[in-house]
Amino acid sequence: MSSLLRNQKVRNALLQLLYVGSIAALVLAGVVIARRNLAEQGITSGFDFLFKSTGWDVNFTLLPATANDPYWWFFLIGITNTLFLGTVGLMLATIVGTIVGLARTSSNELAQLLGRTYVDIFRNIPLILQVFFWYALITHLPTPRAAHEAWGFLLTSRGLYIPFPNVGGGTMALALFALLAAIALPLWLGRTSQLSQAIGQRRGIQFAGAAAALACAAIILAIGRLPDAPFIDFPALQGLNLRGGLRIPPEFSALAIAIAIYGGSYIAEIVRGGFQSVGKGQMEAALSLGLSPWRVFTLVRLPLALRAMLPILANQYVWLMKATTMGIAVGFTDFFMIVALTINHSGQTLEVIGILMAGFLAINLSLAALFNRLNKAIALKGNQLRG
Amino acid sequence: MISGNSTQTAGPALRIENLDKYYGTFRALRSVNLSVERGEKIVVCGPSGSGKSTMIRCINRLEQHNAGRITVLGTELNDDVGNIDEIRREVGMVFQHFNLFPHMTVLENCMLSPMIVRRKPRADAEATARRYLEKVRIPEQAMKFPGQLSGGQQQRVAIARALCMQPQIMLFDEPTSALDPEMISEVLDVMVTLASEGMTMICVTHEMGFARRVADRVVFMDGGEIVEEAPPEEFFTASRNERTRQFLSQVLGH
Repeated sequence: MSSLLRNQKVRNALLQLLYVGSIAALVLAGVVIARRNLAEQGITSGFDFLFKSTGWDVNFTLLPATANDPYWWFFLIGITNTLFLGTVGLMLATIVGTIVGLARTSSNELAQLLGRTYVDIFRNIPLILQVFFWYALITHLPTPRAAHEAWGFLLTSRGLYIPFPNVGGGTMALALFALLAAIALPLWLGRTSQLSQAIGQRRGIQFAGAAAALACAAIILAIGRLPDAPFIDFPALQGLNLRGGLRIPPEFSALAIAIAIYGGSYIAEIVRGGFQSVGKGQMEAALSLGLSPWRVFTLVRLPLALRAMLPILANQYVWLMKATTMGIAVGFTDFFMIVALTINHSGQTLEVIGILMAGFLAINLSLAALFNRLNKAIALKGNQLRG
Repeated sequence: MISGNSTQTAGPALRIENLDKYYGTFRALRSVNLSVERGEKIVVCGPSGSGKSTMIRCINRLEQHNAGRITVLGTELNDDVGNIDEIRREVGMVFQHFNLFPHMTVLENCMLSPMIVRRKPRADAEATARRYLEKVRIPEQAMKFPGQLSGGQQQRVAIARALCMQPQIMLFDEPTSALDPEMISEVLDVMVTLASEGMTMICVTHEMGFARRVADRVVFMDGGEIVEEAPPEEFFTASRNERTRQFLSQVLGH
């Protein structure tokens, strides 16, 4: 017996058994206590409430919603809102971060100073304060009657009004898909080496691909346009309010701007680190081969910097995705706010929190999985310690 | 400007006149003069910090000189971007740390610049790349990535990559200093072959055997100056200069 206990494999197995056992016991105890407390307070647990109608409304939704819709539909609305805000916020933050990060690595001292100042200011102010600041700023813009106007865009205290094609939601989605293809197709065509004989020829093929996808988008919009309405719907003042166009509510704008600017300051540092990690030698080699500074950037510096940035960037994206829960601070109906409202109305706290956690886990684990795959696909092969 | 071969075919390959280079207040090059004929092989040696690397890095403008003139293949190296591009197209460089592009295969490393700078069709660029990989004796590594090769193999790829641009001058900046001893000869062998084919070469190296075998002239630098310039047999056996003799006794002494 004692000889068995001295076997390393047996010891490891026993320790693991003990570890898993204690965790299982803790979880079990939690469930038992929760059930007894709920029963004492007369609250029935379960997920039946999901199919009851909510009786309240949301101020921002991409999906059709009425007060008669059930809770599960509202959760779906919350998740799409969170994903929408997250996507817009992450994209803007990436653009801001790239610009500021490049400014910080540039040889221009003014650009460096501006970049450093930006990072110092916006990285050190809590996100929630920035959300409040932008929200206050936007809601103190002029009323619709005194709105700022430029190129058909109207900036008011009730939100940003932009001209929008008079088409249905499905058509819009299809057209967006075609537009995405117009960007992705040339990139993909550029990568498939069989098609690319010479640079000139490859350019032609890429251009044709982009043009075809753009034409598809135009045709989809033309077919899908609503009858008896002008193609582009311009916002215009009618009585005391604005009609027409697409309204981006102040809550959404404030959150998107705050996430873009706050996230951008973190991403700028990631971008800076990524570019600084690229060896000077590779750039010198590229220059010595006669490549122009722009080619050195796109073909050598950027691809290598991206590889250094990606793992940290994934981390930052997951973080910013969770930052969308700031929506509750200004009344944007993101997933977290829907959950908070549901808790107030239904009282099913544990279940709803469970749904919230599961939702964010699903979103962020997918994001992480996507980045891991991307990371693996472009990872440098072999031992990179040399040279 | 665009045609790439507008450089002259007569006259010296390289002429450096009164070259000065400062890093802040430190004077790295002191009025350096050097002329290299076409087909000539120059070995530059000297103690560390003597300005050898700085000098050859000025030739393709990886460093900017502060005073003096550099004329490469009849084109003066100045702030004119067109001139810089033209010179870089005709001057290949091999670095101490290879500096291959780690995200591209060996073949792509060799094809990149010919396709983009020389606008060669892909098939052409690939044929050229394979020919030079054959020449440096690693055709079988074409589809591997630099990180999967040994140091000696990487340096030979770097030589092939520079040759794929079909340059008229090759610069070597301590090409064997970062290599394990057993890999030095495979790189030197390639350089000897290249020299025997008439390439104009300027090599910063401490490989004195190579200098003896290949160099037309050995240039000794110290303190940012060219101290001595002599054919190898004279340089190694009959140097009159005290600093040269001291350096040689340190390099050859063991």
